Amino acid sequence: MTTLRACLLAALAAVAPACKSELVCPKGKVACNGHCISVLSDTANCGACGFACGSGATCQGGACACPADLATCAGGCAALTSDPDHCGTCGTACPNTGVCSAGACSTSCTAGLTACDRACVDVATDRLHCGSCGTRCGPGQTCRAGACRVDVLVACYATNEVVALAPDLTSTGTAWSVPAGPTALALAGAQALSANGYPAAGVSYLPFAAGAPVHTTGLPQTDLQAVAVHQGMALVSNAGTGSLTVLDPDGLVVDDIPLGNVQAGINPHGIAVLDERAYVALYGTGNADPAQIAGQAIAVVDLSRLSACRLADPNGASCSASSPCGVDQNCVGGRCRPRCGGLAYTVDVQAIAGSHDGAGLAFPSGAVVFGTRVLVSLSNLEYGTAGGFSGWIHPAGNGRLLVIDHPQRTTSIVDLGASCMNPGALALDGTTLWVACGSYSFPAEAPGALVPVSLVDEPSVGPAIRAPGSLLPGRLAFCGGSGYVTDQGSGAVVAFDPKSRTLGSPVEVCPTGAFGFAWAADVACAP
Amino acid sequence: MNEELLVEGKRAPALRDPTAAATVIPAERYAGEAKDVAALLATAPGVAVQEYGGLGQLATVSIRGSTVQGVSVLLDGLPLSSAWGGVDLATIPSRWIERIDVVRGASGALFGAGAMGGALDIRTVPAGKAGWSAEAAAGSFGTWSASVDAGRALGEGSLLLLAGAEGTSGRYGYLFAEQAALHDSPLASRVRENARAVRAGSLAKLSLPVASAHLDALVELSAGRRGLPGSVYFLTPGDRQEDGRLLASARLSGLAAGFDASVRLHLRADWLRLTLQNIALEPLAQRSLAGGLALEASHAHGPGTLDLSLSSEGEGLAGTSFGPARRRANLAASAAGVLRLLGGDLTLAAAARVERVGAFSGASAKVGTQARLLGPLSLRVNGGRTFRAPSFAELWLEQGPIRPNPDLRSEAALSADAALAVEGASGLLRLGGFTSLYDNLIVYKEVTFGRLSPFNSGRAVASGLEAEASLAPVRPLLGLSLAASYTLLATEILRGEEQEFGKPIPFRPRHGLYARAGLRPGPVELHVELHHVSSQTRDAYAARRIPAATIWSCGASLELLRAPALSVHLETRNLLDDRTLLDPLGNPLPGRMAMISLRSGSPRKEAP
Repeated sequence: MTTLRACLLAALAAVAPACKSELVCPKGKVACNGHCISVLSDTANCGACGFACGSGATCQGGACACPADLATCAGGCAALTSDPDHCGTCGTACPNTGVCSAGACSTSCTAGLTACDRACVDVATDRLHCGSCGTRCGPGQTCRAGACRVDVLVACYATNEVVALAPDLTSTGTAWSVPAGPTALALAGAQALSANGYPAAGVSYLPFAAGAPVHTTGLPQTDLQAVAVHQGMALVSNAGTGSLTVLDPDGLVVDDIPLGNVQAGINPHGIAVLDERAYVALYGTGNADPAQIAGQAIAVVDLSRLSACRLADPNGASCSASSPCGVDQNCVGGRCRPRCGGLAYTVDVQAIAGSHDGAGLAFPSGAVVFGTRVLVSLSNLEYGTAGGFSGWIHPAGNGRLLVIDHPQRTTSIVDLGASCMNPGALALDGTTLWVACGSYSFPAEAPGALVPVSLVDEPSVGPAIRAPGSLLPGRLAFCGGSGYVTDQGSGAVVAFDPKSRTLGSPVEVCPTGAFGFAWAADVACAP
Repeated sequence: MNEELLVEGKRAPALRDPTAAATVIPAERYAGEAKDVAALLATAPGVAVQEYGGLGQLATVSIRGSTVQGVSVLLDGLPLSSAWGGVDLATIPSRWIERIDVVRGASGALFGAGAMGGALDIRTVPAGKAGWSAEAAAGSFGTWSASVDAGRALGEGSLLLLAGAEGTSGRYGYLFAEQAALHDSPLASRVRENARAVRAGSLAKLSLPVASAHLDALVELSAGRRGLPGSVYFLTPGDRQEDGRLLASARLSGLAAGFDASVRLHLRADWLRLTLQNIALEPLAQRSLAGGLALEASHAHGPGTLDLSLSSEGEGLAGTSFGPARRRANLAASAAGVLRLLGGDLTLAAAARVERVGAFSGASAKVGTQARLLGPLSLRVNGGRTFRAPSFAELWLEQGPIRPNPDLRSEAALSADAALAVEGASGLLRLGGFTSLYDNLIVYKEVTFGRLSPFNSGRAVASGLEAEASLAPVRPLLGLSLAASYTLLATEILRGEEQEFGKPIPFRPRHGLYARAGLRPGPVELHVELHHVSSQTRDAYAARRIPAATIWSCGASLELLRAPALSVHLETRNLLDDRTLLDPLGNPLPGRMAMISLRSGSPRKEAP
């Protein structure tokens, strides 16, 4: 392309200024060597392009700084409680035969601490020696109970990145770039999975280990709605193809399970896995012709062969698109291997009494498992117009919760009340199900709210928590007793204390893209 | 192409700009082959045609990497338009066409604002011949067409009437990947539904002396209806489109003060009705009306000619999702001159046009030269600049996920090209290079999840090579004739987000090749064609691609009678029945298709 540009410049020398190339960066980022960088948080470009922070330091507000539990010593960061070269104070070195324990030189470590290279550390919490000496946590991780764990991850759709945050939602300076707008997240051991949508669907594997590369498996179409991990396999609902795609831990697509009439716009959304069944909410579409309405159902997928399909048989029969495998087998990488699952049956939600009001359509979206029950939010929407946008977006009545008894295959409907219009995401905190409610198009009729549903016995809807200001709860996540809520219409995330039922102030964690658009599409946190 | 006229022994028709990078496509050369406008254009270099489903469905064109909106399309000198700024080639009945001039490079100085990548000057059959002809064709997928025309003397003038209709069931088979995420997904045979299309039209042309002047008038009517089948992963069996167009013009020309002067009145009316059942409960409707007046004067003196023009037009659009009726007034003044020196061996051309399109003003200009170097070898060099005002849709359409942006500015294009040509009675060879810069391009960007608005955020460059060659029929070799065109197109996004910066412009294939070989042993004509389009990106991130396509076609015709003329033609497209062909949206295109047609007519005589 350099040649191409040179050619242009030569041919149009008189208008050369107009040939200038220009990288457009989101607000808050600047172009550094052809990449958009946040100089406020990037440790390799802190404050300005090319200014790297020293060892152990992070970039906070455009300046290099040591983490709160470390001190700045000789341009680097040191743990004064354990660093044998800076024991107690900067520059205080312990004898070669001694260790630094609790900020003092000693011949042995205090009880409860472990000697790692003459540093006495608590391997339960030390990021440089997490669980064992030398096990270093990656960027954006903390050491908890002897394991490196990411705290909070947020999918920033408009800037094509997933950012790691501390529990108080401050930046850790760690972000992963993904090839398309991330719409859904899932945690899977030492990595996170990001399901990406426009302009090209794919699943990105985001390793927590420092410096490890992101790899992405491309998928067809442009709209992935949810990702879940089960038995190490990624399950992805692809709204563009009407299927549940299965990827093995290496990111290889091993199955693509049609969830019904995939040409009708069944539009799969949330996934909940229970035993060997995946319940996938088929949001569907509305239509002026009632005969063309699709979805409003739950696809129940048999995953009993999931472990079998994970392992490739090197001696499996060779195959291709023109020479397909037999029944119950897929052609993967030119070899036949067992299918991971198949559609077992479908629950017609629209046909369930009480699932919607009058002209409304049920539109199932979020899904979670509690015990032996599967819980699915039903939006209950009718055709309407707002802000020039027309579609099945107007609340037809109260939101609903579909309860599927897994062993009995029975269903029941819970009315979420007038405080919960257009329910979407669901998340569990112990025995309480939290429901995100509110309509982006009709905020006056359907204001933002979080609604608790006690699942101790029969589902019981509690009093709603009205979202502050214009916040419209999008996705939810709970971990360590804290909750996190994204906003449907901005890059903000709000911390939420489910016990005191209080919401914090919105924190703009996703930067505004080049065209004034920011969206925190999903949030995930490690337990 | 020009060579086709040469090989037919006819004089190549004059171009408005003799120095322009242009290719003339004579429709008569492909008579009986059931080629639509998109297929005719695909024979020219520098052109990228996109067919969204084929068989009467939406078809668009880009020249030299431009946007679809950056190509001006004129029908008998009247610019076609649409609310979104581009022209659907499928709405132009191909049976009317006599020739298409494909002019490449920024051409706003001659064709008006909007011709950023180039212009298509489509000319319908002239009124000056007496006689009649008729044609009927039928073929695969329920495809058919019929047309009839008659011309006669009318006093000292002439009248031409033409009517035609065409249609298709659009029910073609395709292979559907039920497990699309699997690379080796099993493929199921499906049939495309709700892709039917029908179109009908009529044309009347009158040419008549009026006192010392001459009147040329035309009325063109066309209307069509087609199903909109949707994506293969989201079929839309209830969606459809209906459209109609009326074009009328009257030109009075004569001599005045040493100038060939003319005054022209024109009227254009378009209507469109869309039934999109997943977007709206009620059909969406648009109606647009434009009318204008143009004064033109041409003066030839010695080796030079000078053309002057003043024009004004009012256009209005009303429709669902546009808010109140939108109107704008367009004014333009232009001057174009051609100077032939050194006994015609050196031609210099220059043109300039100032224009106001609604609230948007701009200037277009071009300079060009053509020099005969040695024998049949000549050199042509051009440079130009033009602009495009935002379309009605970009400014005001609020529909589905689309939000308008009334703060848009005009786009701009700069282009330069040079070519060497060898032309003679036995054929021609042209080889040239070009580069075009597009700035302030209007690009749709997400402003909230799934909702898009246009911004002047784009800047891109397109450079490449264009080649065309032909060999006149060699009678000792059974009348063997050859023709080919090739395009090398390298595009790059110069301004954009990190993921798109430096990437190629979507839907702009790097290589395009068209080749044709024909034999004409006596009353029989045989030909074979090859179309190759290389892989192209589907999005600005270059994350998804449309695979390369190579399509073979062949045909034969047999002259059964001479007076009245009667001939039969057989045409087969996609000879190898490639079922993997995809349109720009990733939807399937038809497999092998055969058409048989019967043509008849009386000998044409020049009307008085």
